[in-house]
Amino acid sequence: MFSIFPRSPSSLRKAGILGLNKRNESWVMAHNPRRAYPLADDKLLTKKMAIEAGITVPELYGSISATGELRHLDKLLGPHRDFVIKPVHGSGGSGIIVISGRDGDNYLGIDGTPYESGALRSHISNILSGLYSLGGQPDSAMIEYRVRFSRIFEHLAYKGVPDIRTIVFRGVPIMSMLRLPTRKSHGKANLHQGAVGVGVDMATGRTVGGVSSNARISEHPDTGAPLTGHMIPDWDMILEISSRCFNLTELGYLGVDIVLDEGLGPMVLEINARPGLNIQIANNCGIGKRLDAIIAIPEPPRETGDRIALAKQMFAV
Amino acid sequence: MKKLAILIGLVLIGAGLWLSWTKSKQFGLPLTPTAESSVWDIQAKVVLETWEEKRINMSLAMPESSDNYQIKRETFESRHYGAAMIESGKKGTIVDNRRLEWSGVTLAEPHSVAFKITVAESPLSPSSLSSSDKFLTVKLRQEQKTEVNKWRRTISQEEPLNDILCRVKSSDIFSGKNAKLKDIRDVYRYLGYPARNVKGLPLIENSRDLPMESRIQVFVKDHWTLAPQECGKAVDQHFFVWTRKKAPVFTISRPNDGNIQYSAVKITPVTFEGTYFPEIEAKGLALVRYLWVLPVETQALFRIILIFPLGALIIAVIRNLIGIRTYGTFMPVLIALSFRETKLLWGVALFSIVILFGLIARVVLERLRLLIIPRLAATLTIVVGILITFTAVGVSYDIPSLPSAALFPLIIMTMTIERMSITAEESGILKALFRAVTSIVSAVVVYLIAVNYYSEYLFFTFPELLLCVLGVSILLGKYTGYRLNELYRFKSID
Repeated sequence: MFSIFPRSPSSLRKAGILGLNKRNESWVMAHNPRRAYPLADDKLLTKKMAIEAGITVPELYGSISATGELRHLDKLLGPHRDFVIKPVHGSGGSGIIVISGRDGDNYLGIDGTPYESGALRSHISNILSGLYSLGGQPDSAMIEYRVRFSRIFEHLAYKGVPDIRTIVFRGVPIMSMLRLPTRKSHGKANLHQGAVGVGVDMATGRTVGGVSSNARISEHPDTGAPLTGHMIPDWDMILEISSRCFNLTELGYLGVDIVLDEGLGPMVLEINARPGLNIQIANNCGIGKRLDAIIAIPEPPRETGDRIALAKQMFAV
Repeated sequence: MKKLAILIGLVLIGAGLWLSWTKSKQFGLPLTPTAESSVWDIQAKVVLETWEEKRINMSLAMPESSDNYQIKRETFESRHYGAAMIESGKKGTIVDNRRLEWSGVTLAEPHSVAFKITVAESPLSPSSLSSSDKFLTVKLRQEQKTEVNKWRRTISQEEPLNDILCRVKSSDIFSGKNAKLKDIRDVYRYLGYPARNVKGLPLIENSRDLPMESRIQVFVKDHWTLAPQECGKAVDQHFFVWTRKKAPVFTISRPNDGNIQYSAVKITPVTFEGTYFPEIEAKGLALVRYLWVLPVETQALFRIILIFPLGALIIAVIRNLIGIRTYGTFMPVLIALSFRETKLLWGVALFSIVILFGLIARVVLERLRLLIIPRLAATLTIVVGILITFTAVGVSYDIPSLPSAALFPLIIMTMTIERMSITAEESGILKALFRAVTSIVSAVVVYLIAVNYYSEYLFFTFPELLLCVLGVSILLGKYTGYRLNELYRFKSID
């Protein structure tokens, strides 16, 4: 029920809810050194560093950084039946095209839309011109492995890959949310584009409730499947990988997006230096109080294992 | 760090307020513009570019107070030349000439000389014809006189001047539309209306390049009035008569080396004599009124520049306190500026319509699947085409607001169209429209607060207030409270 009266700021503060101003000033600006941003914003760099650190990422098939290279696009894509085209400096899931198969000379999107080679070239040249990049700067495009998502989520996701976004503060995973694609989001796991966010119990990996367009829901809008009570597989590994991304990037406040591939297990899709705040609605819990709790600890743990243990202990639902 | 920022912010706000307040009190500058009558700063500036040193002479006719404009103050700048006021001819006659003459050697680099006057519009009071104006010669050919005699009985009593002009302009004997000014003048005289040639400037606000026009003044009922230029068109009587003398207003011995430009700025008649423009220019006072002593066109520029700080601050408030996002962070400020000419209602309507047409054009362009930068150029070209169409329609059907649409910032509109299209593609048409609405609403808010005569006066007279804007911006930069939209967004969390 939407009423015209807003909630009072003190009520929000008491609930430990974090607002954008505070997130930017006290957490992002204070704990994310500027020089570390490229490690998160530049997806190619993220991939490179992750591979070096032994963290699994979707395989990179190739990248295009100049319009002239578009000539060889079909040759580049030839060996791959399915793939994902992404802007290297994109944000919020924009500019991503997922190709799930072929139909003669055409490429097929996940919802069945056929794309001609020319359409893909046009899209990539848009990416190169900086249409989807932060600040409109010229960008590169990358082509990577298309994740085959684990069967577990078949009835929960609508034609797309669900991912798990975890907010990590100083190496401690403090909140997670499972993002489920919907018809509205065109198969993208992006809340701003209409995907569903599901809260997760940090201790066990069990789902606890959902949000869609800033409103709480209990069933998936397209499939009707209930959102509570699912156990996310490989939960400990997901926590461990997320925590290690702090060591990788030195970003004190970051968001890690992990997908569960059927064969390859948890893979890091991207790292976000300015993760959004909808995770609070998905978890029905303010993230501010969890951040305050970690800051209050005089000596935070250094070992990944200790960090995960702390998270499970402090943030169980 | 937060405490330091808050301290700096508060100090700046305090300093700005205190400086403005003392300046106002000490020098008697009112905080609100008291517009009792229209006052204008008019400037005649000669820009010289000779690229070598040469002898040169320049001569400018001196303007006189007239029935509707009183000259309050005259100054001239001539740093490199000797200047002299020459009076020739018999005083009180038509050849009574008062001219300002500059002579000397030019500099090798571009430089200028200027003559400035401040005039105040005076209420029209009845005057009488001087003796020299009563007996004015008529030099018309016989066939012209015959033609005019035909009209004598049928001239409209309510609008005689316009009626006469229309007849002259549609008569072949006077060469129709190409009728000579002196013939028109003589027709007025022949029909019993004393008329004389004048040269002067139409007073258009914040104009940097006014034309020195030759017009006719006619004595109707009990005062001199400006005769119409075109049949059927109303006459804007805001015309400053520079001179009635026949000699050219401005002469220069080397016509290729110098260009004269006239500009006018309407100013608020803030306590003129005594505080603002004392006869003796004390050093301290120069600091106080530094913007008011600038050349007129620079003043016009500054009035616009001074809108930006407040406008940007308003956007910062809209974004960080209320939580509304727009296309382009400071675009609404530029949109608000464009409303300065078109005024609010027409501005919003025209802006929306142009954007709408631009979107349609872009959908068509999208089909062609062009590369992005050329597509932007194409969109921009089409937008310019739309603006030209609007202007043409506006001029043809005499809708005054339409041609002013041409002042819309083209780049802003092109970028808005581009971003709307992308948002529509990615997040749906509703979101794209919503953002467009927030952008326009933000522009309206900026317009109402920062783009108006009072705000312009305030910041122009008290630029110290910029310190306050700076201070508030700094304070806002440390605000970590919730945004208004978050009070709704996070309603449901326990």
